Amino acid sequence: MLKKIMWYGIVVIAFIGFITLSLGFYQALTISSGKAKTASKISLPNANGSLSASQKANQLNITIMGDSIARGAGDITGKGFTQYLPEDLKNKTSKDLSIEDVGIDGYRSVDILSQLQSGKLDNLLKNSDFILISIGGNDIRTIQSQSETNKDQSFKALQDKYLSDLKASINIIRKSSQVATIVFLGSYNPYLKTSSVEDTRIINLWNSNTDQLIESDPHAVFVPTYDLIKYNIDKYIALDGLHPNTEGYKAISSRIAEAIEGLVVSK
Amino acid sequence: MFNLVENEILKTIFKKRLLLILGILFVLIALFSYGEKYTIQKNKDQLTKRIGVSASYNWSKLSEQQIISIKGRLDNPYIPDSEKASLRVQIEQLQYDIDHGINPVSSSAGKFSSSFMEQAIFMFIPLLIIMLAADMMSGEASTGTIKLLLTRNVPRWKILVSKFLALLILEVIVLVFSIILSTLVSGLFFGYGGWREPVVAGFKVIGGKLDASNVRSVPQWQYTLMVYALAYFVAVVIGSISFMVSVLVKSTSASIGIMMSTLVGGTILSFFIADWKFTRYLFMVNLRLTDYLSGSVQPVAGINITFSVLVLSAWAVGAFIISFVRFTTQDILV
Amino acid sequence: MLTPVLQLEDISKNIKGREIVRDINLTLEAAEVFGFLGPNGAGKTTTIRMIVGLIKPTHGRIKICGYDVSKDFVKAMSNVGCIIESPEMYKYLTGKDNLLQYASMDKRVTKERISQVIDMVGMEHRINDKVSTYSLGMRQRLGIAQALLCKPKLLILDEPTNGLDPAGITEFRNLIRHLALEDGMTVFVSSHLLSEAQQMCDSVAILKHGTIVKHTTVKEILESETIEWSLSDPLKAINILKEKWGIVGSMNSDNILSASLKGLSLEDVNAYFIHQGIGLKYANKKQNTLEELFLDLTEGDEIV
Repeated sequence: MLKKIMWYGIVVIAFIGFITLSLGFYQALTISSGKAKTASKISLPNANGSLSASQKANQLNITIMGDSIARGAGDITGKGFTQYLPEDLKNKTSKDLSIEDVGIDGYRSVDILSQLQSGKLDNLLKNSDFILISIGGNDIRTIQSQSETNKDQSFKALQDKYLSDLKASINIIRKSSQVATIVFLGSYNPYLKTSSVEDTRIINLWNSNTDQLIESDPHAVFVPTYDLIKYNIDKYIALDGLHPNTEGYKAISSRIAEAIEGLVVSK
Repeated sequence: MFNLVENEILKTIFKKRLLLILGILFVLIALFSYGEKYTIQKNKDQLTKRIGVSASYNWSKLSEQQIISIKGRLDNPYIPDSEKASLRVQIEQLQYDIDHGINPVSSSAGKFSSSFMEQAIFMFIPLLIIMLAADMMSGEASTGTIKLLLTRNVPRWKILVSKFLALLILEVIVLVFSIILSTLVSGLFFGYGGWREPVVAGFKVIGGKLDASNVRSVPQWQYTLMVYALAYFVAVVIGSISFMVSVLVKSTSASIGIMMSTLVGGTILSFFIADWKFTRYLFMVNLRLTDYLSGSVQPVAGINITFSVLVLSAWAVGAFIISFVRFTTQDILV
Repeated sequence: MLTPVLQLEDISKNIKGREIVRDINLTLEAAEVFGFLGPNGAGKTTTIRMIVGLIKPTHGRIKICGYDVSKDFVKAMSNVGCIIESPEMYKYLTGKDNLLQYASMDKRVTKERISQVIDMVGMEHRINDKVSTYSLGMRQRLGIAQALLCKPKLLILDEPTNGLDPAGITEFRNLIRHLALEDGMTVFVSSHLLSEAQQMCDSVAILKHGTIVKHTTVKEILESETIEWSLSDPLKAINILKEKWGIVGSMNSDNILSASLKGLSLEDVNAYFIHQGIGLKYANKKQNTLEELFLDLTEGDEIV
């Protein structure tokens, strides 16, 4: 009797299970292979064309490129430098300010290189007076999570790759615009509270090598952020523990504005 | 036929093989849940330590900020269109978490049961199914009971088909129990909710690259169902191949050994010679079907879910035909 | 004429190029108890496996109750119950569950029949125990029980008395006799216990190197009695036997005369010898056993 109950129980479970799983299988197939109904795509104006057309002599063009910091992650409005940089610069020039931000979250040095290689930014860069770059934070973060033993080894390899990508990127920018001022944001260490001496050494080495590379270009400036953030983490770092918050963006913006003040006035 | 299938099922139950498999499943799920709980706690502690404030109190603010940040990215004209669909679903997920008071860092029974199966589909579930299926025929051959089974007034093909059907049923049972067990056990750690949360699905692989333009959100329960359905499909394929080996080989341990080494060896092989065109036709490299749902990258480039499902189906059908022909014509000499 | 229960026509089997069984012809009628004898490796089990369809003959036809085993497998097997080699049952099931497994495969088997066969083999007390706890003899009984489930016309038993104690063997012999007489079952027994076969079987076939070297009835063997005499004048006696009854006698080195009487009464012969003045020391009736015949035919091949 028990056996019969067990058997019918199994038959019922198997039957219902089989039907349900078959439905699930069909869904899985249609969802990941079929032409799923896509949500209406947000249509965006082609910024490339519109910008080159609106190029005016009486305008100061700033292009911001690089990673999530360039893009404005962590800022309460999500706009980042595009919001705060004009505020700091508008008193210093009579020209109209035009800011274009092409930063993409998660970008590493190799990504801006391929972004530049695609040629999509050529028009934009040609018309730019200032090019603000923030890159490298995502590169260096990959070794910060590694164990101490192989950190040194992988750091060297990573840094070499990063520096060569960066050099190649600057070369491409220089093909579009010989005189635009490149403003490069240095890296800071958001994990200071959990960092070892080794981590600090690494990030300083990284910054100083980047600085050397940037300064080898006659129209480029390296703007450090490490010192700004070091004792102000609670004040300047967003809740995600990684990106600057609104205050942080404001502070970095004013630092950038100070660094390029003389140029803005003359341009 | 029905009575033959019943016989086979009862044999597996009384042999305690099914019980053993469910037992292993239970232990593993418990360990996984505990591990996940531990990892989450560790992450929270790290975050708290880093930011200086308790992260658990501020998660909703953090989520809101993430939404703003993603919205900003969506407005960026330099982001490829294919990424946008995926971004929109991320916003939807975060919004859902905020609306329903769910800390995105935490887990739930719903999340756990699907992520467990995503990990189990290519190795653990196949191993359990091998234990089950590799014994179906060689178990009778090695104990000699096959002689009594095949001298009844029942044609051989019916014996074979009923064993195969029993296997299909047992595979459903294993999958049903794994979803029940993973829900019950992980619920103890993470609570029994999370079934309506939106999940990203709908990735496609086109030309070896991931295309996220069709990405959309599905509720967790549906996603979990799809994951287990794909796992069932994998179980049927592995079951059929093990069944074939079990027909061809007289000893249970030999057929389990053959199947396990094939599975493990093939997976390793696919990493070493990923660019060799032939590897994509091996069944072992096509088992990670759930990766197509979640959009993870495949070890062998240029294959999509249709391809994998077709390759796996071909293996299953081929294995069944070989079993059928061999079993109905072979001389029983044990 | 009734259809024979079992018919083997020119059966041959090659396995991996080796001829295991060659040109076997055999016909068994209803209610016959048949002993299938032969030394190890003679091809007994291979022949049995072919009869029950576990392996296919390379050549020849096998019919059970008129149905060809390879073409009408289901109908042919509906008339067969068998144990091949040893009775391997599912150890993790009880005896009863084992029987239920097989019973469910055949619609003709009723619940009453199941308890009936349990009775027949005397397993009532242990039937609900797991088979793993059974002795070989118990498993042998259970094996016979499963073979009897479908009331077969042909019962094939390979070494059925293995593991049975003497009382069990007697019990088993009576059961076989009963099945043949009462139910008209044809029983095909392979055995190496030749005395067993002699006591149980109606007819026997002796297999050697894959062929049947002798197929005869047990009665015939037993009837061919040999008498041994110790006589004062054995040469005269040989002549008398030849002239009066046409019997050929022989004499060994100890002057012992031996001859087969073929149905003649020994008293008559002895009276005639005395009447003819031949002194009679003793006369001994010696039965021709199957064992002797077997050894004779297989010429010292190892018997297992």
